[in-house]
Amino acid sequence: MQRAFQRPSGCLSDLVIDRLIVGELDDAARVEVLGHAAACTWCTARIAELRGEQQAFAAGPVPLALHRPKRRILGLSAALAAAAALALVFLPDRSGPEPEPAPELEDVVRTKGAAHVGLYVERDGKLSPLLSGEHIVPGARVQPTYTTTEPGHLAIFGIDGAGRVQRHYPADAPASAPVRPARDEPLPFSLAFDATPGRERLVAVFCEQAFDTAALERRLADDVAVEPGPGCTVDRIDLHKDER
Amino acid sequence: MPALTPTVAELYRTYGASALRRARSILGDEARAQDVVQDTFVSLLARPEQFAGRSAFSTWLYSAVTHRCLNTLRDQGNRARLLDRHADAAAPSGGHGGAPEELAAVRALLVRLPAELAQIAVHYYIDGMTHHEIAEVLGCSRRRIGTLLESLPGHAQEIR
Repeated sequence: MQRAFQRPSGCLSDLVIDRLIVGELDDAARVEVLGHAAACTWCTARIAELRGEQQAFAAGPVPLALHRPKRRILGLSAALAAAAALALVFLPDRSGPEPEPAPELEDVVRTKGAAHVGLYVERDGKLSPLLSGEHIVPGARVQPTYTTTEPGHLAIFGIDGAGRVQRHYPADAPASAPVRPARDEPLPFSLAFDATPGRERLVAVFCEQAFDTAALERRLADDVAVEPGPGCTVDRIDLHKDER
Repeated sequence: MPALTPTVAELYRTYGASALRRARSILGDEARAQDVVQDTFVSLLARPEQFAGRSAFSTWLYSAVTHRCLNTLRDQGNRARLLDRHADAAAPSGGHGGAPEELAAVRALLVRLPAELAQIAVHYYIDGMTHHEIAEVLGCSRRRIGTLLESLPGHAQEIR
């Protein structure tokens, strides 16, 4: 058995080049690697090639999807899987004491396109959708996602049982964050719930145009109802945090 | 109040390209490679403790993707198909990336090797890594890598 991939003796491996590109190398290693590359046309070309790959991927990656069709699902199984996926996604306003019933096909069609957030929680080593009205245990780690068919702007707030408001997304910007069309796209944060029992409400606001999140945060803190204005959708999810 | 924690989506954007390249080189199949990469990152959402931070993320990712690719090769029944097709394949020669039939012969052997040995073989024969680099990825000694690589021809002989 001989090596199927061979680089010139002494040249940089892809692992080293990958680490260089993403900035994982310490200063000494970086200087050594760049010193080698400066005198090596093979490595210079390989670095350029891998850097181009990385930049192209980062600019437009295949969306990281929590629900992907299984390639080998066929026939009735595929239809059932598609129906289940649709049933999961539609809860345009999920506040209220009772969990909403599963939507009928007409509801799905009528509301198709409304922007909304999804929550996923680890259960038995797998990610499961978390619906409004469900109970969670302290320490649960929840991954939010968003779905929208149109580009727009998004902000997500959390309100605990004492009425305290926290801006989750974008965490450190005064304006909403732009989002592109995607289905169940994981948002760049997750939530870890503390041990204080009580209600946790998430409020997600999608709008066609950018909006002032600080003003919205103040309204939520003052317990002023947030209703969707023109070109906006408000999605609410209530979770009940149990004592362990 | 919930606390914000680091993001898998950002890791995916930064490291996805190298993960996809690795998966392609091992599996030789774009669709399956994308599946492996997606599964690797989605599994991080469910079980972030997989990456314990004892090594650089790239190093961990190389190992994780390789492991999943080997499982995919086994699960898909490629083993029997590839072995039938390449049981008498000639020894591969050098070259950037290797000829497809040569890589297929390597994959055919990989799926029948013990898990640790298969992972080492991927890093050595497909990635072209040094013993030192493989030891870093797998978190073991260079001596162990050398010993296991020396045992490979014997295993390959038995398999054929």
